[in-house]
Amino acid sequence: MLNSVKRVLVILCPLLIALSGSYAQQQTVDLFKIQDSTNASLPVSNKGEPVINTFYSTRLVNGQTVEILGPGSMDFRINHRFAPINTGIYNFFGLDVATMRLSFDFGIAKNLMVGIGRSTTNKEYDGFIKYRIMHQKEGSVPLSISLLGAMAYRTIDMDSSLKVTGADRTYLNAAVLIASKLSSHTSLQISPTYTRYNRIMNFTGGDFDMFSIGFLARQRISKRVSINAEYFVQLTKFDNTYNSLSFGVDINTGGHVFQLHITNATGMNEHTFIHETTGSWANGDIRFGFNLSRIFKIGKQAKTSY
Amino acid sequence: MKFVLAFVLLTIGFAGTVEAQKVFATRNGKISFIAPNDDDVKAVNNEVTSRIADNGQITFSMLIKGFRFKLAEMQDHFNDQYLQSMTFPRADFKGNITNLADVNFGKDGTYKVTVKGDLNMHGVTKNMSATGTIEIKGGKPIATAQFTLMLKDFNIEAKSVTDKVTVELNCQYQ
Repeated sequence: MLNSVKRVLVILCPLLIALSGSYAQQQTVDLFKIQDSTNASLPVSNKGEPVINTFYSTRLVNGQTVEILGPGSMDFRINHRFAPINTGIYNFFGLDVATMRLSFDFGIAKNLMVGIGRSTTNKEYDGFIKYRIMHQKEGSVPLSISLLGAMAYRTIDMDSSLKVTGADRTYLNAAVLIASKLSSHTSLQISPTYTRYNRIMNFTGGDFDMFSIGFLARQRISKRVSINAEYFVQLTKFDNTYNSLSFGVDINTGGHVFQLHITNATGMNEHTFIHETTGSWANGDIRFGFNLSRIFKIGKQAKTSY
Repeated sequence: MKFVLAFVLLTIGFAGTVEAQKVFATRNGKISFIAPNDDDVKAVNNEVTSRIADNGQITFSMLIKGFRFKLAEMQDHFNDQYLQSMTFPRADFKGNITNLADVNFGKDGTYKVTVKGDLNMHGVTKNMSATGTIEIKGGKPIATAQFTLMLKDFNIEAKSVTDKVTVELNCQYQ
């Protein structure tokens, strides 16, 4: 009897070893399957992520957008505006006469930026502060809101008989910028704006407290190019002024943004382009202009850097 | 009878000591890249999930949004325009160590390896291979490698910035 048991064992034991060996192999880990199942269990949507690039830049043509410069970045801008095209070939369709605004914008914190600039028109210095109070997030209310406060100071010599004071030369501007990125290609913004004139010079009509609403739109037509439109409706206006209407093309190349535009507005700071536009599209007082914007890094980027 | 019992137990015991497979993982692997012709274009991702097993399998998985640039604007362009991370949120790699016989996961030391596998990024899966090093220290592996990726291989249009990036990898596994 012992002999037959031994014979069974001789057959059984190697069988057991072989079986347990293959059992161990079935336990073999497959990393590819693990990665697939881990990734599949991750949330697919980008819900809650703040939307990026509602607009390519902090200004569309003249008007400010909800975009805030990243902290530690400096945006150096040169804005050119030429004379109206209808001044003819003698003036090389306006290119002979150019006005310019030079400015430096600084990103201070995640939702805060400031800027200073100077325009050749009326030799005005200007400064602004812009703060984003709401950032559009995926899967929730599709709005971004920023608050803008700006000030301009006119330094051009004025007739001494006018007895112009410092306060007279100062212009204040406040706006609420409300934007929505409707899709990866289309963004819209509305900018209810208040402008304060301490003294009205060179114009008649209007009021010390002026109100307007800006309408801004961007349509992306390729990865790096977008078409923009901007229209500021004046609710209070000076006599013989027109609402500013502008169209532009943005070309985005890494660190530079080239903006080409046509507009009836001469000015490039808030109070000038909104309320002091004396040319009209109907009369052909259309001006060509272009902006160059280059962003430099000047400080340590907080938190999100490595 | 005692002999029979001992023999059976020995057999089962022996079978049970077949070695379990070694699998190592990390959630904080580091992958960085730089444009060879433009120092400003560089970013690092410190949240790479990676696994390596002694059967030669190696996997990497990361969020494109996890790549941090010094310049916020560059990071925005990277996500919004070049990699379209809203549509393609991850980059995944599945590969094998082709010279597995040269590596001894059980013995501390430095081993040169070649890894070959599929990299899926921006909606494109491409087979690629790279050389690197696996250092076993205290029984745990550290993988390092450096290789070049051509952007057009993954339909990434960034010609005005660069056409290729040099990628550096450093993962310490537990």
